[in-house]
Parts: sequence; C-alpha cells; structure tokens
Amino acid sequence: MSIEEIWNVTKILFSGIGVTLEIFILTLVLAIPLGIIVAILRNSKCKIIAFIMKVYILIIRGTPIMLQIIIVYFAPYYLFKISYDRFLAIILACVINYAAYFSEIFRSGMNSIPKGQREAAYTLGFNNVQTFFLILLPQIVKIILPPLSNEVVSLLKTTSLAQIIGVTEMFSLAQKQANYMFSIMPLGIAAVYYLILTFFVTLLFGKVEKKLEYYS
Amino acid sequence: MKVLEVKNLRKRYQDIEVIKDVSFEVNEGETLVILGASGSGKSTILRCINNLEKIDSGNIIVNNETMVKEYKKDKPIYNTKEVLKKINLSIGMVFQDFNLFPHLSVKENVTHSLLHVLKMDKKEAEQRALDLLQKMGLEDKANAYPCNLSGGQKQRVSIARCLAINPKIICMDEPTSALDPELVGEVLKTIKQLAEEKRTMIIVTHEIKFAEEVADRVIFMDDGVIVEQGKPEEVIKKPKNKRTQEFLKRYVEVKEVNLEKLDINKEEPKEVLKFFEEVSKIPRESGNEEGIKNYLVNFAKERNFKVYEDANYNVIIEKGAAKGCEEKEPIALQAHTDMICEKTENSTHNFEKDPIILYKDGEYVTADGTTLGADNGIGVAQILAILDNKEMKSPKIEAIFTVQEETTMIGAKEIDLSKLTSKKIISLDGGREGKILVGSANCLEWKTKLQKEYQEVPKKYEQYELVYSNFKGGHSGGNIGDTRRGNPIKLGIEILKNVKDVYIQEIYGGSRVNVIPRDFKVTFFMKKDNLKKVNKMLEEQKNFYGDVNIEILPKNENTKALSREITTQIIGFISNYENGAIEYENGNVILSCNMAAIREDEANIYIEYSTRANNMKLRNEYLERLEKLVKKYELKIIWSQELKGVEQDIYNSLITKCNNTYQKMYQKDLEKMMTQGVVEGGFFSDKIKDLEYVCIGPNTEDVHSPNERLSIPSLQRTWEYLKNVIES
Repeated sequence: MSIEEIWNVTKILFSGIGVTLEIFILTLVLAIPLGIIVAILRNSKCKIIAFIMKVYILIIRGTPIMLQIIIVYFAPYYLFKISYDRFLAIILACVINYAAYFSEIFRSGMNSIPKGQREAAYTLGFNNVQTFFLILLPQIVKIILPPLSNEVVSLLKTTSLAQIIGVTEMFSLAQKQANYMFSIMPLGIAAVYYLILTFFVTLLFGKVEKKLEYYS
Repeated sequence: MKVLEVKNLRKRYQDIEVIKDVSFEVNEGETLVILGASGSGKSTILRCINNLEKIDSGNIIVNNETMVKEYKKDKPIYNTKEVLKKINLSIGMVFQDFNLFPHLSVKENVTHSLLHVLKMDKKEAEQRALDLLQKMGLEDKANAYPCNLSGGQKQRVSIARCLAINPKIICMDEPTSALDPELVGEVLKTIKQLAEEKRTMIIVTHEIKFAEEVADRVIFMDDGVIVEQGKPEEVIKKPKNKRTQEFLKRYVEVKEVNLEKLDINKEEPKEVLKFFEEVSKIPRESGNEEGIKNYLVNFAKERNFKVYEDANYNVIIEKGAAKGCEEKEPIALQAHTDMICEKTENSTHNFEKDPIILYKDGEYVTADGTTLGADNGIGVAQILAILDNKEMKSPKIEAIFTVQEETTMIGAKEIDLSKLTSKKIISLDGGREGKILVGSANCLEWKTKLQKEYQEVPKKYEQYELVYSNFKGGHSGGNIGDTRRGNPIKLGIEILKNVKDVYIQEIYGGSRVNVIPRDFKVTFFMKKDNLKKVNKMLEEQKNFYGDVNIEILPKNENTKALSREITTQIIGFISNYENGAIEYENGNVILSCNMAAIREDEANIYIEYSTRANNMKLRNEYLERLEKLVKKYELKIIWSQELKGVEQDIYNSLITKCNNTYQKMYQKDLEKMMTQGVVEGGFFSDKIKDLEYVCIGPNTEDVHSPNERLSIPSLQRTWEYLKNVIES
C-alpha cells in the first residue's frame, strides 16, 4: 500500500465530508429549536398536547433510527406513490429523531431551574417570553451542556446512516473504496475523519462550558 | 390612604383550605407585620397578593385596580393582562431564599427589569442600580456574582432589585429565615431603614423583637384566619388571644404585666433608688469592677470623705459622725459591688458595656431579660444613700465595698481591714425581710486518693454496670438539708455493701467538691444469684427518689477488677462516711457533709468530700470521727482547704441592737438564720478579733436568674429599718 494510494483515498473521502457536515449542521440547526418547542409542549398544562408529545418521544426513542430513516423516505411512496428528495428525507428523519432526544435534555434542564426564578421574574414584571429567554434559557444552557454534547457527537456519527436511502456521504464512499480496493485502509481513514470532527465538536463544547463557569 | 385591600380572601390547596376568609387593608406608608406559626397561611397571603398563587374567592384591590374581574360559577375570572401587569409592577416581592438570578452580576440583577420591562435607558438604569446598591452598602459588590455573596448580602441585593422598579408596596416573605443568625442583623437594619422612610411594607417574619420595632400594625394568623391584630405593643406585649400567647411564648418570654421604665421620682425610697439606678448603669460583672470602683471613689471625693482602694478594686469610705453623735460607737456597712450576669436567650444585652435599665413590674423592680444586679447593687445603693444623708444622727460610718463575691471571694479574702475602727459590720447582702443572718458555716474540703491494684476475678462471677443519673444535685451549702435530693454515690455503694461479695472494676461519679453529685456509675462483678436482691433494693431506691434514672445492666467484657482489698476500702469508706445534714438547731442545718465525687486515673482512685459546720465544737468533734475513718481505710489526703465561717454569740450587742430596733417597729423578733454557705463575713471575722457581723436586706426573688426582682415595698421598709438601726 503506497502513500499515493492513501492520499488518493483521503481525497476521495474528503469529497464526501461536505454532505456529512451538511446533514450534521442542518439537523442541529433545525432539531435544537424543535427540541425546545417539544420540551415546552411536553411540560404543557394541556394534557392532550403533553400526551401527544409523550407518545412522540416514546416512538422515536423506542425504535431504531435506521428504521425511522427508511420509513420517512419510503412510506410516502408506498402509501401515496409520492417520492421525494433523498437528502431532504435524511434531514427530516434526523431532525424528527434528534428533536425528541434534545427535548428530553431541555426538559431536564428546565425542570432543574428553581421555581423561584420564574416567580422572581414575574414579580419584576417580565412576561413569559422574556422570562424564558432572558432568565431561564441562559441558566438551562449551562446545565444541559454536558448531556447535549453527548447527543451532538452521536449525531455526527449517525450521519453515516444516510447511505441506507442512497445519500452519498463520507462513510459510504469509504465503504465503496474498501470493497473496490479489497482493503480496510479506507475505513481506517474514515475513522480518522470522524475522530477529527468529534475532536472539534468536543473542543467547541469545552470552550462554551468554560465560558459559563463564571457563576455557579 | 388605602393602597391595598384584601377582601374575604380564600385559598385552598386540594382539600385543605389554607386561607379562610381573610380581610385587611394596608395604608400608604404603613409597615404591616404578619406573624403566625408555620403553616398558618401567612406566606400564602403574600403569594396571592403577588399573583403567584391564584385565589379561590374574595378579591385583592391594589390602587383601585381589582385583581379578579368577576366570578363566573364561583370561579374567579382574572382581570386583563394589562391590569395585572400594572398591579404587578406596583407590588415588589422579597423572597425568603432571595431568588437572585445567578447568571447575572449584582448590578445586572438590579438593572435587568429596568432595561427589559421599564425599557429604561441603559445609563440611567445603571445609575439607579448603583444608587440603590450604595444605599444597601453593596456598591463594591456591583460586579460580583450572587454565588460569591453571603446570605445577608444576597438578601440586600434582592431588596435593591425589588426597589428598582419603585413598587408602591413591598412584600417580604420571611426575609431572614434562610440566613445564618449572625447575618440576620444587617438585613433587619436595611428593612428598618425602609420603614423609617415610610415605605409601605407587608412583612412576614418570625423575628418578634424586630416586628415590635418596625411594625405600625401587627396581624397574628393561625390556621388560615386572623386571630388578632393591632398595634405591636398590644399584640406582642399584651396578647389577648390564647393562640397568640402560646405562639409568642415560644419566641419571647411574655411578661404577664406590661413593663414600664421605673420612674424614680414616683417611687419611694427615692434616695436609695436614685443610687441604684446610677449603680445599675455601670457594667459590673464579677472581675470587671474598675468602673464601679471609680464611681465610688468619685462619690467619696466629691463629698470630702476619706477613701481607700486596693489593687483588687475593693473600696472603703469613711464618713465622720454627725454632730452630737461623736461618742457613739462607729459602725461598718458592707456590700459587694459585683453581680452575676445572666440573660435570656433573646436578650441582646452586652454586660461589658450596656447599662441595665430598671423597669417596674407591679411592685417589683426588674431588668429586661437580664439579671437585675439587686444582688448586691441594692446594698451598695443603700450604703451610698446613708453616706449621702446629711440629716441622720449617725455615728462614724465605715463603708466596705468588696469585689468578686459571686466568684472567687478574693475581695473579702484579701481586703485590708486593719484601719477599720468598728468592730460591728452590717452586711447588706441578705435576702429576706424579717430575717437576720447571724452565722455561716466553716467549710472544709478534701481530696483523697487510693492507689489501685488489680486482680483476676475468679470464675462464677458476672460483670454488671450499675448506673445512677438524673439526680437533682444542688449546692452542698444551700441544698444539703433536702433529703429527697439523694446522693447517688452513697446509694450505689450501699447496694455493693449489701451484696458483700463483689469486685469493683470501674467507678465514677459527681462533679465538683461543693456540688451534690447528680450521677454515679460503677462496673463490678458479683455472683449471678445476687441479682434478684439487688433489683429489689434498686426498686426501693427508685420509689423513694422518684424522677431519677437507676438501672443495672449485665456486661461481659473482661475479667479484671480492682483487688478485693481496694474494693473493701472504697465500699467501707464511702458507706461509713456520714453524709447529708447531720445536726440541726432551730430548723437550721448546722453540720453537714457531702460525698462529692469519685473518679480514677490509671494509677489511683480519687474521692472528694466536704464538711460544713456552724460551730467549732461540732466541727472539731466531727473532724475526729472523720480522721479515724480516713486512717482506717488508708486514704491519702492530697489537697484540702478551710473557708472560715461566722461564729458568734447570737445575743451579742449588734444582734441585740438589730432585734430591739425591729421589735420597736414591728413588735416581733427577727428570725435568726444560720447558713451552711460561705459568706464574706467569714473572712472578715478572721481579720477582726471579736467581730460582730450580721447580714440583712430587702426581699429579692429569683436571684442569679434573668427573672431577678426587687420588691419596692420591702425595700422601703428595710430601708427605714436600716436607718433606725444606725441611729439607735
């Protein structure tokens, strides 16, 4: 195995990283706000809404994500003979899945803020929206950073499942190369790529956590 | 002007109605304090006013805006958001646990609502925040975060935060309950300041004293209803409702009668009370008599009296005889200048610098939550009044003021009386009208030891622990005549003596040599078949002494014990030791002994005991008996001391003179008393040959406790009596 071969594979895999990151970032950007909304609805005083959210979270956490991806893409076709963009499907599936996980993390964060904070804000005249964004959210963020970073790293690796509905990203390229070359080397390189990405994500979370250490 | 009205408020949590039809109003500038036990609903009221809890019925009206618009099917329909916000902004809330925003700095905590709710300009908001923080004494903490503040500082920030939006009414929900006791003061001070600024406040608190100081009005709640309301001096000082009384009793000692300051111009004898008031202003705990010494020396110098002082701060003042009385025999008056300093748990009195203020409680003079110091300040005051009196036909008077009577007696021990011309001393440290102290005990105290030896206990013996505790104890001078107090050391040894065949292993009991023991513990070995007999004896002891703890427990730890010989010595000595009151005369105990303590270290057993005798004959006879006993059981005396007593002819001239004067005034005899205690006179009689000494004084109650009281009518009578004795 020459250096040249390794370099070639590295280049090929790099071309797939764009898609990997696209899935990763789009999912994060959409799933986090959705997760917050789900968390708020899950805490809602309206029992029906809370119940629906509970069922949603149960289904998502109770079935494999691979199955969810397949259903999101193929169900419209089998039911209504509608087919749509594979990339859109993988984003949709990931957002639906991760919003559920994120919502539970947010909920635990919200519930760990003492009731007194909300009451103090109320007596000072803050309305609900202000209370949430100015008083509660900054405190929630600090609490949920560690579990959130866990979930985000896991999302990074989940992007590799995109290939099951035919979306070509970095890992699918690696598998192809491995078959073609009859070598495990491309998978090793993929592993290194994942490690590097995870490293940066972890670094980022560490920085934010450090920044919020100014109070306890 | 009415700013808040609570109308027929009701609130229930599930099935429990926590507020039952409560109505009250708050006027502008008024400080209302709500008191009540936990769970009485007082915090819930504040929470309803702040709309943190929804009410079930009634209404809350703030500045003519109603919180509930109407009732539909008995359900409250709250007013519009705008109205609620208006109400909300005119009420501020200070929480028990502060609820500061932890992610914001102190300054940001204060400015946050100004910027985002009142939309104030940033510069202006920061200026207001800094002004408020300065007022709270926290300007240097503006950039700190709440997590770095103490509880007291946090609460002051939260008060500043509440003041920032300039609410019309400030609610405080137990603002000091979450604070360490030493931090409560700073927060209360801040709140007091707000009350003085005439802020409208509703405060829920447990600090009764504070409530009394700041409240314009007090509401007392119990079980969801207002049971009493009114001015603090009425509700707190003179509660009418039983529940209020019970509640307040837990926090302050409610005096049945209202206390008012003693007005010496309205009371007799003015001339004595005047000096008592002055003396009481001077802190004079035992060992801290310099201030009172200076006062006495000044008093003498101002009047050109001869005065002597010594390094202990004892003072002697001489006043020459009145005209025409130069031939009369001089007389000495004596009192001690120090006092016992005790206070109630709630008292903030500082005995090192605070004056004791005199209050009138019915016919008594008392202090507020502290000892009064009538023991012996009233003696000092009477002597000063005698010295100050220019009309009396008095002989030469020598006034003796001693120090540390309550502790070391060093004043009486070391005072130089060689210049004294009088051979008669009237001490004014007595405590009962109609009685005269004519004798005190000679007190002897010993510590002895026995060297330990150990041996292996033969088989068939079982190990037991015999425990006596919770006996009354008491002072070996004052309480020895009370046979029901019992002496657990004697009682325990009595059991062992009856069993006979025992080995003592460990033995321990008692505390100090002048205290009757309260407990005793002995570990020993005996044969098992003795147990029934022992239990029967213990049962008898328990029945006799009542509320005490006596028990025997089997143990099985080891088999080593003190030798048979040592065991016999201990049991023999203690069981043959005469204990308690032994001789009486005219109802007074005149000979007593106290088996005070037994303890051990690695090498020795120590036994401590004392004897008090009011006359030398008895003392000497007893000492002979004791000496034999100590010799027989081979105890070694390692320490002993003798405190002299007063022994005199009870028909001597001073006592006769006192009695005759009393006879003339009241047509009856004085009751002559002998004490088993040690008095200062004992030390004086050691210094002056043929001294005649008596002790008299007005009635005082609960001496040495914060309930100490001095009877004014009794003082009036004994004062007249004292003047007559001196003039006779």
